[in-house]
Formats: sequence, C-alpha cells, structure tokens
Amino acid sequence: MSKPNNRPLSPHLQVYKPQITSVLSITHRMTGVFLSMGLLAIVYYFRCLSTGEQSFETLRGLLKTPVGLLFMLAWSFSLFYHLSNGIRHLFWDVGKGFELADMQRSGCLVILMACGLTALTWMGVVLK
Amino acid sequence: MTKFQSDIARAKGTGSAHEGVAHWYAQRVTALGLIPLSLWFVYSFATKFDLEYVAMLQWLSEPLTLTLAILFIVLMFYHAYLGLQVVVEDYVHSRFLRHTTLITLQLGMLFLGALTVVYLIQIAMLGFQISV
Repeated sequence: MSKPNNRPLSPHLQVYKPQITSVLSITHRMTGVFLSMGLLAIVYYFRCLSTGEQSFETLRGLLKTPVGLLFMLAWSFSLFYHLSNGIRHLFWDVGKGFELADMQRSGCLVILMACGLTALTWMGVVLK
Repeated sequence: MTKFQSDIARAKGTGSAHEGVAHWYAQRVTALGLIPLSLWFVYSFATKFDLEYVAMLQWLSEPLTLTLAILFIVLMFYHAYLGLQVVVEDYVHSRFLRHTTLITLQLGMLFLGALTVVYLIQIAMLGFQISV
C-alpha cells in the first residue's frame, strides 16, 4: 500500500469551461441521487397504502399540495432524463456514438426527450 | 509469472481484484430492466393517481401488477445502490467514512427494499380479501 499523500487530485473540474458533455454527465449523477431519495417517498407511499385508507388519503392530499406537485414534477423529469441519458450510455457501451458531433447530437436529443416525456406525462394528467 | 513483473509493480501489490466487471454489468442489466419498468410505473402512477382506495388495492393485487411492482422496487433499489456506491467512492475520501457510508448504504437499502416488498404483499392480500 502506498502512503497517503495530500497531493492535489486531478482533474480540477472548476478549471474547465462547462460543455454540453460535462453538464449532461454531472446531471446524470445528480438526477440519480435525487431519484434514490425519491425512492424513499415511494416506500412511504406503499406503507400508507398498506396501513389503511386514512393514512393513504392523508398522503394523497399531501402530494396534491404545491410542494408535493413540484416534487413529483422534479422526480418525473429526473426519471425521464436519467432514462434517456442512460440509453445514451448503453449505446456508448456497445461502442456507438463516440464522435464529437454524435455526442453533441445525442446530448441534445436527451434534453429534448426528457422535456418532451415530462410534458407529455403532465399534459396527460392535467387534461384527463 | 512473477519474474516478468518489474520491481515497482511487485512492490505496489497485487493490483485489481478483477471484480469491476460484475458491478459494471449488473448496473447495465438493471438499467435495461428499468427502462420498461419505470415507464410502466410512471404511466400507472399518473393514470391511477385518483383511484379510490379499494380500487387501488384491487389493482395492485392483480398478479401482473404485483409482479411488475415488486420487480420495479427490487431493480430500483439494486440499481440505486450500485450508482450511489460509485458516487460515495468518488467523493468520500476518508477511508473510515467511506467504508461506514458504504456499509450503511448497503444494509440500509437492502432493509428498505425488503420492507417495501412486504408492504406490497400486504397490499395485495388486502386487495385480494376485498375481491373475494
């Protein structure tokens, strides 16, 4: 085992100009962490459902408040983003789409897909 | 074998444990499974949000629904753990803190995942009793 040292770790992210590739990459992580936290809400949702009608209705009321709606909006967007960018990762895993132009094009497609699917979902909810 | 190693390579230890691929592969397989499952979950949640309590229980007690819900929870927890593990490994540098965080995450998420599956089974039993 080598001795622990305090030499600086590379790379220093703050010296780079943000680019579509790097911003999408860190967003993938952030949405992943947020989705994991939202998973706790799903656990709680099923807990309330198994406990009884009263606790379930209380939770449903809570989800319908502005904060609850904002949380569900953020969670659904995170899911669609992580899903779309995850598919982009799977293409990379089989060796496709590494050219810079392709990376930028697929990156834009991911943003479009995430926004589009989120809009579609919520339009479906509102118009129902 | 050893004699082809340089002195510095020998001094640095045995190197990789060659377990990286299993982690990487599990992450991809759970990701693939979660593509249809998470779309199904969001679609169901959006369309059935206002369902009455009893109707919700009955819907969740249908065999296909229960199966998909359990698979969704299991794969979500597994995939989330694999992802969070990498995040912790990247950003938590203190060795003690890193290992305690990882072990807490692993056991904690195993517990929560199992608990949620039990909730789902309980919901299905309630729904089944109502239907009969």
